[in-house]
Order: sequence, then structure tokens, then C-alpha cells
Amino acid sequence: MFGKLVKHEFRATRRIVPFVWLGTIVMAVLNLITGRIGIDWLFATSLIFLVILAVAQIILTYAVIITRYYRSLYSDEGHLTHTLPVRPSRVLASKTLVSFAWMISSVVMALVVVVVIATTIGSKNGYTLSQMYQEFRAAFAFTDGQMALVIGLFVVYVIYALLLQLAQIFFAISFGSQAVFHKLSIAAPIIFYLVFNFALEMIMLVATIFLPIGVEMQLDANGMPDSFSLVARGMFDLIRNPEQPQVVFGLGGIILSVFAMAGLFYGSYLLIKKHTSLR
Amino acid sequence: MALIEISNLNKSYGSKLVLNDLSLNLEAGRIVGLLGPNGCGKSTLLKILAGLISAYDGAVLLDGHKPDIHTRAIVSYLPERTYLSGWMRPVDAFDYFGDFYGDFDRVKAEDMLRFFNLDQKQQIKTMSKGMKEKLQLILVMARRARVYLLDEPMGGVDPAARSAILDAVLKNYQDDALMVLATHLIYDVEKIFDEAVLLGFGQLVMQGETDQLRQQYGKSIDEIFREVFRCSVSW
Amino acid sequence: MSYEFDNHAPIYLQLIELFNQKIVNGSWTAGDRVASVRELALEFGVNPNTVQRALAEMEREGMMYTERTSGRFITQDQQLISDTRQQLAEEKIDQFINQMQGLGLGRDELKQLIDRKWGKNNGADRNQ
Repeated sequence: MFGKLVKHEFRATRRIVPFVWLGTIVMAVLNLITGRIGIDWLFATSLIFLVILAVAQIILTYAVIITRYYRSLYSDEGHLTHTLPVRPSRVLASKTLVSFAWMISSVVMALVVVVVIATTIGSKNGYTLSQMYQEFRAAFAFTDGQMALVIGLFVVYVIYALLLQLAQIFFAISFGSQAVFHKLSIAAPIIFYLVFNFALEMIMLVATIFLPIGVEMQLDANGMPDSFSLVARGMFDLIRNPEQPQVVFGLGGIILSVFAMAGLFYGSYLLIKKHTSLR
Repeated sequence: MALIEISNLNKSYGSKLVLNDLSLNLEAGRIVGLLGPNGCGKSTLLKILAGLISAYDGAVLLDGHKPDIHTRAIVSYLPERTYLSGWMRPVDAFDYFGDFYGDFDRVKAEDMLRFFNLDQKQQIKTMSKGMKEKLQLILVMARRARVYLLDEPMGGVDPAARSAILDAVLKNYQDDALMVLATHLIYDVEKIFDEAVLLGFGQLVMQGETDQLRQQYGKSIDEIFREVFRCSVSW
Repeated sequence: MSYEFDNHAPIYLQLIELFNQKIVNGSWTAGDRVASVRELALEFGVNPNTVQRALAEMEREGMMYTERTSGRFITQDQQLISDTRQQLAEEKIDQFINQMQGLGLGRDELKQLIDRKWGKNNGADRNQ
């Protein structure tokens, strides 16, 4: 049943975004070609549209994910979703999986656009992409292995940040759609999203500063990163004592947010299971 | 054991009591008219049976199970609302039902679509209210379910379509199934009922075989209903 | 669903009358197999259980019989069929006479009226 849920979740969400991607790709190709052969007005125009499309596809992806989640669970369509012979956990898991796939794809698409723009603008100024990479690496005095680690960490962070955001969006919609808040209509999920997001950021900030766990970075004589180690200190030390030669990145916030994310998904699951909130 | 057993069921929305200590047994192999004025709890009762409302007091058993994912597989529920997405076409809805309900008979659904003159490829958002109701009825009746719960299946269609809908219901009804049909258009439908359940203010007012009630009162079910609820105003 | 039932009286009784009528006027032939409950329910737009009840009642009265393997049949007892016709006719005539008396018509007046009308409507009334 899970596979079928995923299939129909995908079918219900595939109608708009792929076309915008197609437009983005066409525009990117146009940008690359006109940049190479030097039709300046078309190059400039396509560049502007490329930026607009890159932003638009991300916004649209979010819009599709949000409306699909809301409609299928809390509008009249909920009468069907909630009477399917499937477990609520599977319903939530299928929505999470498909929404995440769309999100990560739109982020990848945005990165592709960044690379395209960097290539075209770079070539106008006599740089190639690999030169830019080498300069970035040199600026931090990273080895190739360290660069791979940085990129790896960046990927993990993006995945994690998207999942955390998805957890917040789903929970805000589920919570804001409860019968008690029906008077507020769609304002309720939006308000709750902002409130929960702010609260989570605050808690994460506090945890980052005060929870005694962090990564310590030793600096070398030139002020460049030298080595990293896990320490039982938060960032509070750093604030008290900003002159010390090491930098500590508190991990408390991130660790706490893992629990927050699990809690948000579990909360959404409970609310879907209870589903007393149809109008 | 009755296919549906309800005992001492209470359900309230806030301070408003919608079902008040309702006890009711319904047997397989019957078409039951669930009758009552608006707001008497008909829809709420069907939603509880369909597994759509899980917060209630009392015991509700379908085929010996509380409403859960097992009962949802044997219950075919038609809500009053349009529960299909606007972008879907009948073919998409058939795919959907075919995937989630093992008892969905696609050939039957396609036959009924032709019977109602609906287009396989027309998007639901461009359909009239009556067309949407017919499509949903097709989806619900094309399942070989053990329990059918139809909430006002003829609410938004013209009188000509009503008899076509009744025909479709009779034609596709399985002899060993239980059909519960909630309606306020009693006169048009009462000849297909063999049992009538009258609900008023969340309570069971009357339950009996329709022909027996007609014989006993010398009146149609519609008239009995009107009489019962005229009196009830002064309760 | 061209049949209009009177919702005020039990539908199974109306079905019995309708089926008996079909037997006595020959549109259902003596000895023929009766359509299935399901088909009849659909044809007359009523509940299958109601049809079942009407057929069971007719079996009890002998107008139908069941053979274990091949289904339900219409009786071949011509005497019973003609008795039923007689009985149905008498019931109708009783009602009719009652109504005419209600209009204040006497026996002779009524006979004349019937004779005059019979000629005009003849042929149309058989196949109704």
C-alpha cells in the first residue's frame, strides 16, 4: 500500500513544477548559448528570467507541497484520504517522502542555475568554473579532501534543513487545521508556522549557547582553521571569553532540533490519526 | 451477530450533543433508510461508521471490529461533499480506487459511467454538481463492499437523475451487503428500503420494516416521518 | 421504473396484485419460469427483499412453485388461475360499485353507461 500511496502522492503533485523546470532548463541553455556567441541583450534578458524562474520553482514547489498536504487531509478531500484502508503513519510517510523529493529536486535545480550563471558570468570575466573552485579552496587553505568534507557536510545540512522545515510545515498545517481554529481559516496554519518556527529558533539558539557540547576549531598562526575536535562545551564559554585562540561551534541546537523534528512528525501523525478536524 | 452493532453511542461537538445514547443493530442483506431532519446526527453517525470520526463514547462494531483500517476495507462510504481532487478525471479516480480498494470493479465502474453519460476524460473541476455526485456514486457502488454508507446520494441532482441513481443503486447492490442510505427525500426513495430507521435529536425514534410500518399506520414512510417530527417540535 | 406504487400501502401486497394480474391476463404464461428476484426488483424499482416476500406469499397461495434445481415457476393450475381472476375482478368491481354508488348512480343507469362506454373503449382496454 505504501508504494501506491507514494505513486498517487506523486501523481497529485506533478502537474506544475516540472513545466517550470523545463522552462528553467530552456532558459539556462539559452543563457549559455547567448553568453558564448555574444548576443548581449538576449543574454541579459535570459539571465533575468533564469533568476526569476529559479526562485519561482522553489516557491511553487513549496506552494504545491503545502496545498497538497492541506487539501488532501483537511479539505473535503480528507473524506477520501481518511477513509482509505491504510495506516495514518503510511499516509504521513508517503507525503514526507514525495514532498522531500520535490524539495530536494528544486534545490538541486536552483544550484544548477547558480552554476550556470557562475559559468556564463565567469567566462565573461575570463574565469572558468574550476578556477573559481581553486580560489575558494585556497582562500580557506583546504585540501581537496577537506573540500570534499565541506561539500559533504553542506549536502547533509541541506537535507537536514529541508526535513526540519517540512516537519514544521506539516505540523503547523495539521495543528492549525484543528476544529478549534476553524474560525481563523487558513490564517491559523500560517500563524502557527511562524510561532513554532520562532520558538524553535529561539530554543535552538539557547541550546547552542548553553548545552555543553560543541566542535572546537583550533586556528593556526595565520588565523586559518587547523584542526577540529569534539568538546563538552557550548558557545557560552566563547561569549564569556572571546579572546581565546579556539572557536567553538555549539551543537546543542542541532541535537535538540533532531528531537524537535521527530516530535513534530510524531505530532502530525497523531493529528492525522485523530482526524476529527474536517469541517 | 448483526453486521453493524451500535450501543450507547454518544457524540458531541463542543456543548452540542449530536448523538445521544444511540443503540442500533443493522443486519446484512438489507437496504436501510436512515431518516431524520437536518442536524439530527445522520451524517455524524455515518462518519463514525466510515471511520472518519474517532472521538466518540460508546461501542461501535462493524463485522465485530471497531472502525479502523480493517473496516474501511469493507465499507464503501459516499459523503455529501465532493472528495475528489479537481484535477482528476474519472479515469484517474478509477486508478485511485482500483489501487486502494481490492473490491473495486473497474469494468462495472466503466459501465456505469456510460450509463450516466459521463466522459472518462473530463476533469472533475469542470463538472456540474450533479455530474460529480454521479461520479462519486459510481465509485462507491462499483466496489463489492459489505457495507455501503450513502449520505444524501441524491442531494444535488434533478428528479430525472434521481430515478437513474436509484436504478444504479438497486442494480449494483449485492444481496448479502448492508446498505444504509441517509436522506431527507423520503418519498422518492422509500420503495427501495426494507427497513427504516428514524433518528431525531440524536436518538432512535423508530426502527422497523417499511411494509410493516405502512400496514400498521396505513401511511407512507414519508407521512409517518412527517407526523413523528411534527410532534417532536413540542418535545 | 415506470411503475408507480402507492407508498401508503405495503409494497409487497401491491406487487402480489400486480404479479397476479400479469398471470391472469396471460402476460406471464402459466408454467413459465419466473424472472429472478434481482431482475424483478430492478424492473419495478423496489427492494429485492420486498420482491422475495411477495413471491414467497404467492407460492404459499399456490400461484407459483419452486423446483429445487431450476427455480421458480408460474402455476399450471388453470382452475386456480381462473379463480384468482374471478377474485381480482370481484374485488375491483366491489370497489367500482362502491364508488359509483358514492356518485349516486343506480344499477340501470350504471349498466347503460357501461354499455355505451364499452363500445368506445373496446380494444384499448385489453392490452393495458
